[in-house]
Amino acid sequence: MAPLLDIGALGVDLATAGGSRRIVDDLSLRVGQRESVGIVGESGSGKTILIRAVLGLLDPPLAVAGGSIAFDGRELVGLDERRFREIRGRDIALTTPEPRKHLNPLLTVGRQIANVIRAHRDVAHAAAAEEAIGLLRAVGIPDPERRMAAYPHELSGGMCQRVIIAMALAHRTRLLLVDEPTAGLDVTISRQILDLMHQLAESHGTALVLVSRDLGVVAHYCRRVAVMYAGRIVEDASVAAFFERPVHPYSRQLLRAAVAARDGAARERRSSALLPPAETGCAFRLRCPVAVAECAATAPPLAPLAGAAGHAARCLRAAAIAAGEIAA
Amino acid sequence: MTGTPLLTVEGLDKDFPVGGGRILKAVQGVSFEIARGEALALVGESGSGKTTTGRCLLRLIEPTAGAIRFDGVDLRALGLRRFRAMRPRMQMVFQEPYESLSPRMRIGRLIEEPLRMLPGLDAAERRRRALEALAMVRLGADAYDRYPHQFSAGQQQRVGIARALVTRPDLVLLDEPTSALDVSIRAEILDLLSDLQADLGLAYLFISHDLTAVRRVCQRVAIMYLGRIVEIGETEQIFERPLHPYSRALLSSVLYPDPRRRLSRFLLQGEIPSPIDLPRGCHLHARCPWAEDRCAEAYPPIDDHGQGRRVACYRAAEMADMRET
Repeated sequence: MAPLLDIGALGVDLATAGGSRRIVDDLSLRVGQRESVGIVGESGSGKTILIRAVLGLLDPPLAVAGGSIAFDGRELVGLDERRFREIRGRDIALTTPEPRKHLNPLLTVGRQIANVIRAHRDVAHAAAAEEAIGLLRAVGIPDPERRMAAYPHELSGGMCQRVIIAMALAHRTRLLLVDEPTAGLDVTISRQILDLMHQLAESHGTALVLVSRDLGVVAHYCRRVAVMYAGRIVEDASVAAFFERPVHPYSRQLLRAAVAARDGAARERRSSALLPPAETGCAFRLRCPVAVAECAATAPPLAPLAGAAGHAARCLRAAAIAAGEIAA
Repeated sequence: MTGTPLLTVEGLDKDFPVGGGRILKAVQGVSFEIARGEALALVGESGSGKTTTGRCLLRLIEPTAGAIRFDGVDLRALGLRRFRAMRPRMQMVFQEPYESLSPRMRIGRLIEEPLRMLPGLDAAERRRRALEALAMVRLGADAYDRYPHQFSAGQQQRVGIARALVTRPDLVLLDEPTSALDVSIRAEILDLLSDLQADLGLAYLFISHDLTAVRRVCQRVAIMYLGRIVEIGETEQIFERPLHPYSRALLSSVLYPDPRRRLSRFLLQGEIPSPIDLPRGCHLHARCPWAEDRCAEAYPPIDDHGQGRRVACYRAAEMADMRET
């Protein structure tokens, strides 16, 4: 089956006074129908810019500078704003740490969901409202009849997330992009929201892309993971393979830090985390414990690992690390 | 630990009037102690009252009721002048390192600023103390003449910590010091805080929404929900065997970065109620999978369960025997 989202060699440039700077580079990623993919990276890795590029939401000084983004076979790069608006929210929905921003502040949430239903099908107001109540109930909003009349500002962040999920259900959205699914939510609420998204994906066949700094979220709610560093994907693997044996030295550091953060006993001693990405060669080489002279000369491609289907890494030493010949 | 506690908080209440004659009870009956050199975490979600509690201690806001004793002195009875003289012994580290540092001031001056509360320090002595604080947080002396924007978020938080340490405090209040940082930086800052506590004999009150963040730094944890402490005890004991359903749910919500680890099903229902409209009985009962009729009637007393553990739940003893479902 053709992938739902097929990003090929995408580049995004940032225009500056001194010329343009490539901030997303050679980025290829496929998301299958019904697949859930986690994109992991720290602040500044380019993961949010990637999502905005997919939605056609990049504003100057940012611009797509090459490559392609195909959604269900249709090229999105260069699509005009009017066409993009048809896709956004309907076929592809987005939620961010500020879910309220994606709702219209002037309309009740009941009205917004009913509007979505009526945009797709020729049903009467009353019937659409009835359906909207059902959707609010389905996403776990208590007392949905009363909540229909609430405005977004009257709802908590978690409730607004649920309303966006209800709208995605109404649209029969095929791809849900979730930027930092747990940020801004209380911990006892964020598990509920993640479970809800997971159920939505399972029952409605919606594909999920979860962009997160939290490897714990990816471990439990995604099938595949792509790790971003300095605007590039440095590792792409199934969740099972990645957490069993990450290959890229950056992925390894990230996973060790995540384990240490969750586990009081472990201590990670490192001061190189403060070094910026290298401008030439492998971007990670200044922080890399196994970098060799060649890493400064060559920017490695994202290459498949021999003998590990669906696992790729952007590292000259990947084969040796995967074979356990060197410890990264 | 022996001797008088460094900090004793007893029956702390803080009400905020919210109009229409209604009252938001942000903090209710909060009591705890911190020994010298001990780190206590105050953990809770939004509306738990953890931040309000911290601000009451530094008298950034006035409590409605309760006693706060620092090194045996009743802080609430002190006049403002005598309280100010006490302040250098209690310092604070903020969540957003950059926003808490004035962008136009050089790092050296920023760190020296709190020293103005101390009488009789000349410029040379202030500089010496600032350089000493920089070294404590493992920043080089060259940082002294630079500006905040020249540093990464992790380095800025080190500056924030140096600024708190420069007055040689006994107690440091840490308000979500790692929440705004990336995971790899977070681990470094937590290690630094833990080392500083051991080396300098500091006491901490570590306010956080993230139970796992406090684990490596704090010896004890107090868990708050809607204005009250629901459980307090030694960190490792609470991690191993939480006795309050809320503590258990918080621990269940932690997603370990290991897909083979089974997700706990001990979850709470629904949303956190508004602190303006507090539920009758136990504040958790409507969300709690273990609630019984009596839980909706009266707030449970906070009972002693040995080894310094206190829990406000009618069913805490049963919880102790409950296995993971």
